[in-house]
Amino acid sequence: MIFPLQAVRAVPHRTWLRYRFVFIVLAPIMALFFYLRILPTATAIVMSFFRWELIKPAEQFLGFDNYLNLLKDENFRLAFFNTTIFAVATTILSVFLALLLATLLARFVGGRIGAGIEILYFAPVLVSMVPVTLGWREIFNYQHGVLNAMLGGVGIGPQPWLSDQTMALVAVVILSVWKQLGYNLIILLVGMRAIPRIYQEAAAVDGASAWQQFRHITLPLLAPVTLFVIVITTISSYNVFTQVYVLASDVQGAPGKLVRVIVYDIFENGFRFFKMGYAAAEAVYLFLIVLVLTVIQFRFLRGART
Amino acid sequence: MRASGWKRPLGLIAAVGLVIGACSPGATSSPSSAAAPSASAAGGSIAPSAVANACGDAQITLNIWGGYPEMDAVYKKAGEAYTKLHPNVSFTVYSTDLRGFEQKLTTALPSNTAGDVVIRTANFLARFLDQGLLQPVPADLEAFVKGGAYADTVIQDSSYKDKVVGVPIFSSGTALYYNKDMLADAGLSAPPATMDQIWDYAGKLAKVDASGNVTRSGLSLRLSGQGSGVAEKFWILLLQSGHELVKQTSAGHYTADYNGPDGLALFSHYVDSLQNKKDSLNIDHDAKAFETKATAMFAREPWVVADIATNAPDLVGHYGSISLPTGDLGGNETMYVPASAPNAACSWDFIKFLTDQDQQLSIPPIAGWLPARKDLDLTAFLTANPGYEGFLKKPAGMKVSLTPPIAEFDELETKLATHLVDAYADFANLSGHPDKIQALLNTWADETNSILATNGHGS
Repeated sequence: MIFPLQAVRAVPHRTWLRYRFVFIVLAPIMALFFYLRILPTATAIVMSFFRWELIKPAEQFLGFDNYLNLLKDENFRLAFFNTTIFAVATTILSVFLALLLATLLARFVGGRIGAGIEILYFAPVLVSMVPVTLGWREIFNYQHGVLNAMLGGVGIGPQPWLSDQTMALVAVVILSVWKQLGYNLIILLVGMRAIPRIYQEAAAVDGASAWQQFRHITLPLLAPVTLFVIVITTISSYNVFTQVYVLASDVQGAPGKLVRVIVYDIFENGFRFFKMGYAAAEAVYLFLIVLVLTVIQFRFLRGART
Repeated sequence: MRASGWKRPLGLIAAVGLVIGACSPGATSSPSSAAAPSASAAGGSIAPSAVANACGDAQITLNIWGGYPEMDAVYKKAGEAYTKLHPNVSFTVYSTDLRGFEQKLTTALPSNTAGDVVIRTANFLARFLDQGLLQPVPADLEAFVKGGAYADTVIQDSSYKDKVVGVPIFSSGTALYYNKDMLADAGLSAPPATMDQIWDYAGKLAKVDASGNVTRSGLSLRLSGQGSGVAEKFWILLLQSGHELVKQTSAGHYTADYNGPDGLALFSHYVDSLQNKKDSLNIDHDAKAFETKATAMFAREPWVVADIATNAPDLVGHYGSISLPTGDLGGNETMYVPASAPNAACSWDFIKFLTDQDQQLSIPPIAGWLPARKDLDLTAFLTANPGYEGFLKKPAGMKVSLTPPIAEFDELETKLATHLVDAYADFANLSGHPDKIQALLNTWADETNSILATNGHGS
C-alpha cells in the first residue's frame, strides 16, 4: 500500500518541473474545487457527529449517534431501498439501451439520418428536469394520460403510475431512463467510432460473425467508455431527487405517491425538520455508498477488460 | 513500481473526486423555485401613514417576502399607496410557493439576507424567534394587536411564549365546498350539516363506471402528496369530533390525540370510502377535481373561491360553501421584521399600514384570503361573493384550533402524513379491520410522542 504523500515524494524533481505548466493551469480550478466541493464535504462529515440544527450549529457532540439512529430510521431504510432499486434499474436499462442503439447507429445508420436520430435522443438531456417531469406527470395520469391510453389500445387496463408505491417507482425509472439515454448513447457512440475499423475488418476476414466482432472486439475496446458511462449513471441515479420531488409536489389536484429516495430524505431532515447533523450523516452514508460502488465498478470493469 | 505508486493514490483521489464532483447541482438539482422579484409602481389610493417620518428622506427599497403569490397584488397595491405618502420608499415583492419560501427563509434569516418584511406563521418561525433572528414587535403595534381589532385566536396564533411576536395580516380557515347541481341530481336539497351527513352524501354523490372505476368522488379526501398536508386535512376532519393531532396536557407538554375511538372512526371512514368506491386513489382530487367536476364535495381554504372564478368560471353560481360542523383549523399569516433589517422603523410603519382597514378589505377580492382583522364589515363582499359563505358564516360555538407553538410540529405532522399515505394505499387490507387500524394508529402515536419527548415537549 502506497499512500498519496509517499507517492508525491517519490516523484523526481525534474518531473515536477516538466509538469509545472500543468500544475499552474490546474491550480485555480483545483482551488475552486477544494473550496466548493472538498471543504463542504469535510464540513458535512464534521456536522454528522453533532446535534446540529440549521440555526443552532454544533449544539451537542453525539459521536456516532446520528449514524446509528439512521440505521433504525424507517424512512431512511425505505429511501435506501428505493434509491438502490432505482439506481440499479436506471443504470442497467439506460446503459443497455444506449449500447444497443449506439451499436445499431454505428453499424447501420450514418449521415444526416444518423445525426438526426442522435439529436432526437439527445434532446431530453438538454431540457431541464422540472418541465420534463411536469410533462411526464400528465403522460402518467391515470384517467387522461397518454401512456394508459396507449396501453388501452393493446388491451391493457389503466395502470396507477402515480398512486401505487411500486408503479410510482417504475414511473420514475421510465422517466429517468428516457432522460439519461441520450447522454449515454452519445458517449458510447463516440467510443465506438473511435475504435479503428481495421480490427473488425480483420476479424471479418477471419470469418467472425457480427456478434463475435461485437463480443470480442467492440465490447472489450469500449470497456473504458462503458465504465465511465456506468459510473456516471450510477452516481447520478443515487442522487435522484428532482423527478420524485416534482412528481409528488403539489399533487393535491392529481394523484401522486412520493417515492422516498435518499436525497429527498436528506432534504426533508435538513431543510424541513432543521436536523442538519442528522441529514449530514445521511449524506455521508450516501457518499460512502456511491464511493464503494464506484471503486467496485472500477475494479470489476478493469478486471473484465484485462 | 513507481508508476503503480502513482496510480493507486491518484486512482483513489480520482474516484473520490468523481463522486464529489458528480454530486453537484448539475447531477442533482434542488427545487429552485425562486420567483423573480417584481417591483411595484406608484399609484393607487392614499391611506394615512402611522409614523410621519419613519422612513426618513433617503431612498429606501423595502423587500416584502411571502409564501402566497396570490397576495403579491395586495402588497403591491399597498406599496403604491404607501409610496404616495413616502415618495422615497419603493417596494419589491418576492413570493414563491409556500414550501420554497420556507426553505428560502430557513437559510436567509440566519444569514441576514432576508427581506425587510417577512410573512409567515408564528409556529413556523418559532425556531428563529428563539434565536433572536426576528425583531420584537414595537409596543404601539403590540397594543394595537391586543386592542380589540383581532379575535383572540388570531392574537394567540400570533404569539409565542405568551408574547405577541408578529402582526397578523390575513387568515385562513376551512369550509366544505359542494356542487349544487350534483346535490340536486342526487335528490339532496341542502348541503350536509353534520359529519354523518357528509359521509352519507359522499356515498350518494360518487359515480362509478361500468368497469367499476370511480369517475367522480362524493367527497374528495386528501390521500397523497408530500409534506404535512395529508395529516393536516385528516386533522381538520378529526376536529369535528373534538380531537386534535396533539393535545396539550400541561403548559408546553403534549401527547398524540388521534389514536382514540374518534381517530379510529375517522380513519375507518377514509379506507371505507376507498373500499366502497366513494373516492379513489387514481382520480383527480382537491380544487382541480372540484373545478373539473370530478368530485362533488371537498374541504378547503377560501382561496379556492378566487381559483374557481379564474379556472372554472362556468361553476360560479353552481356551487356553495358551508362551514364544517363544529371545528375549524385557524391559520394566520403574520408579519415580521428580521433582526438584521436595515430599515426597521420604515418596515414596521409599512406593516402598520397593511393593518389599515382599507388594506385589509382589499385582501379578499384581490387574493381570496380573509382579512385578519375581525372589526371589518364584509356584508357587501359576501353578497357579491356568496362562495365565501362557509368562511364568513360560522355556527355558534364553533371551536377554532391552532397549530401548537412547538418547533417540531411540522416534523411530527409530516411523518404522520407519510404513514397515512401508505395506509390509505393499503385500504383493501385495512377496511373492515379496526384492530389493524388501531394498531397502526398506536404505532404512529408512539412515534409522535417520541418526537415530542425528544424535543422536551412530551407528557
